[in-house]
Amino acid sequence: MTVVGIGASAGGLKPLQDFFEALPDDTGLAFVVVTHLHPEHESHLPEILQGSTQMNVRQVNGEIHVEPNHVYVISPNRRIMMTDTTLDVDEFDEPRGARMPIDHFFRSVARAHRSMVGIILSGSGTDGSVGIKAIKEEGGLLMVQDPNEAEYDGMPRAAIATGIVDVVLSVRELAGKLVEYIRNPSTVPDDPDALSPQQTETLQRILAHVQTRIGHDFSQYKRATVLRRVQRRMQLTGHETLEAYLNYMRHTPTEANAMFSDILIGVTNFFRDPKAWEALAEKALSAIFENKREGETIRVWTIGCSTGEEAYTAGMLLLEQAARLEKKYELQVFASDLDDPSLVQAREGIYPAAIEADVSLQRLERFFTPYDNHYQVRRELRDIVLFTNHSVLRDPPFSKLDLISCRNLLIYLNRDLHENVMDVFHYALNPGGYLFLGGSESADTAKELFHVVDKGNRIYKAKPWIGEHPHVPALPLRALRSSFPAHSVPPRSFQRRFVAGMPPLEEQHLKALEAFGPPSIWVDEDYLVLNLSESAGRYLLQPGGPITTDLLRLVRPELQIELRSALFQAFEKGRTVVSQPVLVTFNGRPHRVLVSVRPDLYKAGNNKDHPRKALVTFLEDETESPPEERQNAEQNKQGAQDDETVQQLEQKVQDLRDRLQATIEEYNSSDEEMKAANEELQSINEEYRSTTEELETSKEELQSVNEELQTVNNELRNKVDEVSLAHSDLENLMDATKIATLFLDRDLKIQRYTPGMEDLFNIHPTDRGRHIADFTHKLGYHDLVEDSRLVLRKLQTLERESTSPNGGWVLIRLHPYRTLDDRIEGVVISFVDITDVKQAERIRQNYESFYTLFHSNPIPTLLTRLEDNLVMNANQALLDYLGLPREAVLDHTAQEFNLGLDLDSKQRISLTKKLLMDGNIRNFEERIELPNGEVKSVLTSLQYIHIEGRDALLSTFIDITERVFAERQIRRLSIAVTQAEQEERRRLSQVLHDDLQQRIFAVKMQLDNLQQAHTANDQKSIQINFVKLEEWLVEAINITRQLSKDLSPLNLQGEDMTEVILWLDSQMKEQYGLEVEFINEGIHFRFDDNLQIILFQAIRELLFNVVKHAGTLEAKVTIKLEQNGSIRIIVSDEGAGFDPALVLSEDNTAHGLVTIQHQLRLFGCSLALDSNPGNGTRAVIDCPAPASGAQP
Amino acid sequence: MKSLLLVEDHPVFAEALMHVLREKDDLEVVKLVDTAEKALQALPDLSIDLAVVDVSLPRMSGIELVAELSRIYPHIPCLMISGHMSGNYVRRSLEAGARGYAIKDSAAGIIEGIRRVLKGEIYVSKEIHSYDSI
Repeated sequence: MTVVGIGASAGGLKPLQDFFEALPDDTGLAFVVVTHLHPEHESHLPEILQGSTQMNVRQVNGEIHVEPNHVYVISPNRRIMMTDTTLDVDEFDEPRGARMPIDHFFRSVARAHRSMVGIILSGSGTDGSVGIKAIKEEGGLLMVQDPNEAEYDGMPRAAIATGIVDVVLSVRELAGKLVEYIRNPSTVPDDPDALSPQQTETLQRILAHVQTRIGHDFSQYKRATVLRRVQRRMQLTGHETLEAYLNYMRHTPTEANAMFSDILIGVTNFFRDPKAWEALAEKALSAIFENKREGETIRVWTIGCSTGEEAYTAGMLLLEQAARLEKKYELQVFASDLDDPSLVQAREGIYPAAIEADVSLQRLERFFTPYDNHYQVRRELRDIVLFTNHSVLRDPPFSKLDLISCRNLLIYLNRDLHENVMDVFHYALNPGGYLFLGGSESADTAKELFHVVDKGNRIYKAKPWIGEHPHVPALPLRALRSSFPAHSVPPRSFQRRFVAGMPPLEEQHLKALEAFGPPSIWVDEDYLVLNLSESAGRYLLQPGGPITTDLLRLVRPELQIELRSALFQAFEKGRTVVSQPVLVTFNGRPHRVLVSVRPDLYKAGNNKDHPRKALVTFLEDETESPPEERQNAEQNKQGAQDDETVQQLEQKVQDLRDRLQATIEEYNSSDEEMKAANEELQSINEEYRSTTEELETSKEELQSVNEELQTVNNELRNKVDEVSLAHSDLENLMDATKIATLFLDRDLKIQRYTPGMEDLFNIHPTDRGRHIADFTHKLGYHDLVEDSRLVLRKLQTLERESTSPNGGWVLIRLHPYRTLDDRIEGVVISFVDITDVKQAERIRQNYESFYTLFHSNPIPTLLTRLEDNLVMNANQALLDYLGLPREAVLDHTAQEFNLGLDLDSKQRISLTKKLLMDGNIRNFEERIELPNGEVKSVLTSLQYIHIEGRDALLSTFIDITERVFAERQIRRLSIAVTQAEQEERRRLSQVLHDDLQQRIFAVKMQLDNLQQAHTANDQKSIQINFVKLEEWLVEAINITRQLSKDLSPLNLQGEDMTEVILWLDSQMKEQYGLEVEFINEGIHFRFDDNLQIILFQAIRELLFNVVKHAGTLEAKVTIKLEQNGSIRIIVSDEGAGFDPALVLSEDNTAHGLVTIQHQLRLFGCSLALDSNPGNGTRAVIDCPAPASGAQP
Repeated sequence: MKSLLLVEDHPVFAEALMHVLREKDDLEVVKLVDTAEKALQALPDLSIDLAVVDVSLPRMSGIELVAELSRIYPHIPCLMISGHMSGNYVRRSLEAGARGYAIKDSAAGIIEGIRRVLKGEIYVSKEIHSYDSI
C-alpha cells in the first residue's frame, strides 16, 4: 500500500478540500495530511476535510495502524511519523518557529522504506523541501501544487527549487495525476534478470536514446537502479510497456532529460554520516595538513557533489583545520556533478532552514548567514569551492589532489567501471592522498592502489606510483566526448590496465618484446614474482603445496642455484649480474640458459623506502645442441688466445650497446615526462574551462540577481508603504494617548519624540541626533541622563515621578528600546501626566482626614445628601446628642430627626438661596426637637461639600439652649431694671413736682404778696405773710431732706441684716403707716454687700406690695435659721392676696418682684410666693448659709 | 367783678394763689376745688367767667377737664396753670380748648393771663418761647 503524504500550510485548506473533492474514494491509498497547526488551538481540520471526501478522516493522536482509503490528519503541537505500518505522534524537539513537521514525516516514511507519494501544497517557508529528497531517494513520486495557483508559494517553490520534483500541476490536476499514477502499475519486473530478452534490448535502446540526447552513457550503471528509474518514469508518464515508453521518449524531447535527472538524483546532506566525516577530519585531513608547509595548496575533489552540501562540508572541515593550525594555506575544493540544475543550486549556496538539523549551531554561525528562512553560505566558504560540470568517467580528472571524496557514486556504477574509476582516482591523487567513499562502497577492488586507513568509514590512502612515471588512466567514456556519433563507438572492455590507453607504437613494441624478446620476470627484493612476460612460464614450475609467488621455489630446479646467486648479487651490489650458462632440458632437449638479473637502479637511488625490484631475464641458446655446446667449449679452449681480440671487440660492442640502451631509456623517460606534463596541462585546461563556465553562469546569475533585485525593490516599496502606514498608526496612537515620548539611542542622542515633548523639553525637530543632556527641561527631575544609562546597563524599566511645568505631576517611565530581533538600541522615555491620579490620591487622603476630623469632632455633625437629604454619615457626638444608635440614623432622611423646627418656609427658602450662592450658612439659630421630646436651641451651620462624587451638606449643631435661656434672662432683667429705674424717677419727679415745686411756687407768691404789702406798708399783712412764708419754707426744707435721704444709695456694708430689716420696718411705718411685726429668734447674720442690698430691696418691695395691693396696713417679717445653716426670710400678710402665677409670670415685666427674683437667683437664693386671692400672701426667701455664719 | 373757678390739688399753692387773688378787686374766686371731678360736680351750680385749671391733677387731668368744659360749657374760657414749661403741654392744652397757659412761678403772669383771657385774648406765658416747635 502506498502512503500519500500531503504537506500544506498557509493557504492550504482550500487546496486540501479541492484535492480530496477531486479524488475518488477507492484509490487504495492512505493519505496523511501534515500541516502547521497552532500548538494551542484545537484543530477542526478533520471535520472540515470530512466534508470533502467519503474516506474516513481521522486525527492522529497516538499510534495508529494505517489502512487504505483513510485520511490521517496531524494533531496540534505534535509531529507525526511513520514506522513500518503504523503512524505515531511525538512532541517537537524544536522551539516554535523552527518546526518542520512535513520534513520530519517525509523522512520517517523514507526511513520506513514505504512506497510513497509526497505532495506539497500552498504554504510559506520551506518545510518539505528537505523531506522530499528522502522520498526521492527511495524512489517515491513527488508532486507539487503549481506556485501560480497556490495562495502562498513559498513551500511549492522551495520544493521545485530542489529540482527533483516530478509533477507540478494545479491541485485538481494533481489529484487526477495521482490516480493515473496509481492505476498504471508497471508491467516491467523489478529484477533486471527477469527481463525478457526483448525487454532487455528495449531497455538498452532507451539508454542509448538517453545517451544520444544527453551524451551520457548509463549502460555501465547498475541495471537494477536504472530499471527502477525507468519504471518510475513509465508510471509517471502513463506507459505500461517499455516499448510504449521508448516511443513516448522519442516523441518527447524533454523526457530524456527527465530520465537523466532521475537517474542522477543527488540526495545529499551536510555532514551526511557525521561519524565518517569526523574520522576523515581526524585521520586524513590532519595528516594532509601536517605534510604541507604554510602557504602550500591543499586540493580536494568532491565528485557527484549534487547541490553542493558535500563540497561545502569538505570546505568547512578544511577551513576549520586551517584555523586550528593558525596557518595560511591555499584551499581548493573542486566539486563536480553532471546535473546542471543541481550545480546552479550549489553555486547559489542557499539552503533551507532545515539544515539546522545537520549543521551544528557553531558552524551555522561561522559559515552561513540567515537569509529569509534560509541559510546562505558565507563568502569565505563559497570562495574555496569551485563547482563544475564534469564526468569522472568521461573528462580528464583534476590532478595533484590531496583528497577525493566520492560518495554514493560508485553504487550506481558497474563493477567493471569501478576499477577504471579507481585508476582515475589514484592518478589524480598525490601519492599518499586520501580517498573517501560512501558507506556502501569500497576500494577493495584496487588493493594495489589504495590501502585502508579506516575501513568502517571508507577512508583509503593512495599507494605510490607503481611505474616510474604516473600514467593517465583510461577514461571509460572518453570516446563519448569526441565528435564521433556516440552510438558508433562500441563500448569496449577496459580490463587491461595501463595498456588500453597506450599509443599503438608502444603497444606494438611491447608485443614484439613479448614475442621476440627474452622471457622476463619482474620481482621484488623478496624474490616474489610481480609479473611475468608471456613466455616466461617456460622457466617456471609450480611445485607441490600451496601456490606461491616465490621465484626461487617457482623456477625450474636446475636454475635455482644460479638464480639465487644472481639475485643476491644484483640486489646486494646494485648492478646487473649474468649467471653462468645452465643446462636446462626442455621437451627432452637440453638448452643452455643464461639468467640475467638487473636491479631497478633508477628507483632505488631516488627513494630509499621504495621496495627494490629487479628484472630477471632468461637468455636461451636455442640452436645449440649439447654436443655443439661441448664442441663450442672445446673451440673456446683452443682458440682462447685468438679470441682475445674478439672478446675485446665484443666488449666494445657490449659497451656501445649499453650506452645505446641508456640513451633509449633516457629518451623514453623524457617522452613519459612530456606526456605527463601534457596530461597535467589538460587537467589545468579543464579547470580553466570550469572557471569559464562558472563565469558564464555568474553572468546569468547576475542577470537573475538583477531581476531579483527589481522584485525585491518592489517588495521594499510595499514594505515602505506598510512601514509608513505603521508609522502613521503609531503617530496617531501617540497623539491619541497624549503621552509624550522620547526615543534615545544608545549614546542618549535624540532619535525621535512625540509632539507632547515640546511642552516639557526645550526641543525642536531639528534637534534630532543631539545629546539629551544638551537640553533643559521644565521638570523637577534631574537624573534623566543617569537613569537612562542605568536602564541601558541593567535593561530594566525605571519609573520616576516629577512635577510638571503646569504644576501637575508626571510619571516618567524609562524603558529599554528593543528591536524586533531583540537588540537593545536605546531608551524609550515616556512622560505620562498623572496629575489626576495624584489629585485623586490627595482627595482620597483628604477624605481620610475629613472623616477622621468628622468623627473625632465633639460638635454633633451630620453629612447628608443634597438631593434627597439622606444621611450619609453622622459622628458620634451627633449620635450621643440625639441618643440614637448609628443604624437608626444612617440612610434615614434628616427630616425624621426634627432638626430645624421653627423655620418657616420663607426662612427655608432664603436659607437655601444663601446656601446656593455662598455654599454655606453660618451659625443660624434654630430650635430642634430631640427624639426624647426635649426642645433645644442650636446654632446650625451648613456647608456644601462635594464628597465621594456626591453633592452633600455638612451640618453642625452647637447646643446653645442654656445660653439662650441666660440671654433671655439677662434681657428680661435689664428691662426690669430699666422699668424700676423709671418708676423711681417718676416717683421722684412726682414728689418734686407735686409737692416741693408747689410749695416753692407758693413761697414765691408769698414773696410777691410781701412785696405788695411792703409797698403798701401794710404792717399787719407783712406780719402774716412772713409767718406763712417761714412755715412753708420749713416744710419745703423737710421735704428736700426726706427726698435726699430717700435718694441716697443704700450702704449696707458690714451692717447686721437683722438691724437693716428692723430699720426698714420702721421706715415703712413712718412712710406708709404700715405696721410690721418682726419676728426674729435672736439671729444675727450678714451677707455679701450686694446680696444684702438685694435682700433689702426684696423685703422692701414685698412690704411695699402689701401697702399697694393687699389692702391692709399690717405685715409680718420672720427670720429663721435652718438646720443646714441657711437662712429663711418670710414676709406675710393677711390681706387681699393675689394670683402668684400672674405676678411672677415672665411677661409681667412691670413687676419689680420678678427682677428681684432673678437677682436673688444669681446669688443662690430663691423667692417663692404663696398667695390666693382673699387668703393673704406668704413670700419665702431662702438664702444659703452666710460665709461668716449666723449667730443666734 | 369777675367770678373765677380754681381747680388746684396742692393746698399750699392754692392757698398762696388765693391770697394773691384776694388782693385783686376785680377778680373773685367763687369756688376752689382740688379735683376735676369736683369741678364738674360744682359747675352746674356756679356762674363763673373763667376757670383756672392746674394741668396736673390726680386721676382726671387738667387737660381732660378743659376738654370736657369746652364741650359742656363752651362759653367758659379756661386758663391752664402749670409748673411745666414744656411746649407739649401748652399745645395739648390749647388743642383741648384752653384759652391760656400760665406758668405757676409768677403770680403776675397768672394775673395777666386771667385778665387777658377774660378780654377774649389767647395768653401764653412769655417764658414759653414756642409751644408749637416743642
